Amino acid sequence: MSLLQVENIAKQFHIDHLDRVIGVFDRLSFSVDSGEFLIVTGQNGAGKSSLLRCLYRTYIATSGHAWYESRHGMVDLLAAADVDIALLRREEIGFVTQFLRSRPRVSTLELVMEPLLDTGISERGARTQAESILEDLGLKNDLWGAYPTTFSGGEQQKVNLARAFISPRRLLLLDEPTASLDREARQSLVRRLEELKRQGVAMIGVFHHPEDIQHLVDRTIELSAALSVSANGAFEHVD
Amino acid sequence: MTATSNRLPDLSSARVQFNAPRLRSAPPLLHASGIVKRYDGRLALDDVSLEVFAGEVLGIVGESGSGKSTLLRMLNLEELPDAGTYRLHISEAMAGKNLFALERFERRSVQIHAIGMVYQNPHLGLRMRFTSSGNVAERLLIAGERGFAALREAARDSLAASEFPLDRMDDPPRVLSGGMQQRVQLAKALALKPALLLLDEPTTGLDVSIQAAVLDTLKRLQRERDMTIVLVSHDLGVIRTLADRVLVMRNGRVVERGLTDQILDDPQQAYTQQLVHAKL
Repeated sequence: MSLLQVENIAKQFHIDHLDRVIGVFDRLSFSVDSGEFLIVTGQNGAGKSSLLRCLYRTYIATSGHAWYESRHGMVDLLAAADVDIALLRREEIGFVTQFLRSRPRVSTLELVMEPLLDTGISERGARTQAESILEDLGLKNDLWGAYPTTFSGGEQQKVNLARAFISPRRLLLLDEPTASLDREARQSLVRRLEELKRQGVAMIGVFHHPEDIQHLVDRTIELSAALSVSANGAFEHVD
Repeated sequence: MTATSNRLPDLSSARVQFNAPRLRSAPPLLHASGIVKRYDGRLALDDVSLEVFAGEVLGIVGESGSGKSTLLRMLNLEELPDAGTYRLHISEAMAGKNLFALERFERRSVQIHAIGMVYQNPHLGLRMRFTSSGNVAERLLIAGERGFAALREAARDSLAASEFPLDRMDDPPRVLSGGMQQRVQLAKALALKPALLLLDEPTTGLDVSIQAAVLDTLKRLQRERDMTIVLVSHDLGVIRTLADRVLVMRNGRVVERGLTDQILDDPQQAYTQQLVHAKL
């Protein structure tokens, strides 16, 4: 039994002020096991990010199922109650993006500590772990007390990654995590992904430079951008 | 492509229905159902229902006249609705009781001990000419706390937790800045460690840098005390920062509800799409 079994997931956007329906992807099915690494490929606009966001429930999938073997039992991520998804996000499922959502007057260290503090870990314990991961990712320690809003893109991304990886996860969704990282930082990230894979974390990722992680990939999900929606709502392939 | 119509979109039902919650072991802390409120024949709240689990922050967004502040007044037991039930699972004794149906005295007791409220306008929540610590202490007094030293100590703790500068404890709110007034309100609201905190536009009208500081305080307090909060705001930035889930209200009805990032990034209803995309 896979950790995650996705069946016929489809996504459309209904743009009310345009009176239009925009198709993103149609009837995708795949599975991921613990320790497996899947990548999603396709042209820009093909729906790669959208697929990840549907699984994380930032987007609501139009149809389909995503059966996830959580610690609390089997859950359909696409149909579960909001509060159940909120619980899974806190405990098991992570989403890593290429953008840091910083808040004014919140330091780097505080941002990175937060996911641990949310699970009840002491401030001292959280601080130690946060410092460790920031050091690991190569962020200079004189930046730890500073506000990330003024950092460069690469530095912000390091904070973002630290925050995303600090709490252990069973399923990780990665949306272009290497964007804006220099070569050394990318290599450090790849090493971390290797370690996570060894630990049994299941990962689904979108990578702009797939050559970085090609050696980790177990399977590829290919999305075609050539989809539109006809008047009756059915997907059509356009070539 | 067809021409865009001018019709008002149908707001009566959500496009999506999710399953009932299954993973949480405890029942919701707050359960309100079928709330209706009329003022002179105008329907201010039209069949509003909501659930909030312990430790959650529920945001309520909507424009003026949406009913969001009216709803908060109901949840604060300041007024009674024309219909509806309201349960707070603060103890086994209270679990099944409809707070709207309690005797006035019991209702007041629940309001004092279990609920804290911060108003947008500090004049509504504070006595502007008492001292700041006196404002907080008053709440403790009503709960039966006696002894000047104990009251002052408890007021000081609450003000400190709200990151209020203690050297101004004896200043009356009327000489304080807007941000500091909100901190006094917060300290007062938290003085009895309520199960539920209600915030009505807590940072609206404050200078931007002060808003950030107050939001920070709220976030930290929420985490440290695992507080259950219902937060009304028209500011989507505030909602994104603090709220786990959101209700979208319009003309007294709940138009859409969902996880905060979903409501902001993939709004399903036409009205929500308009509201979210109007953000500059």
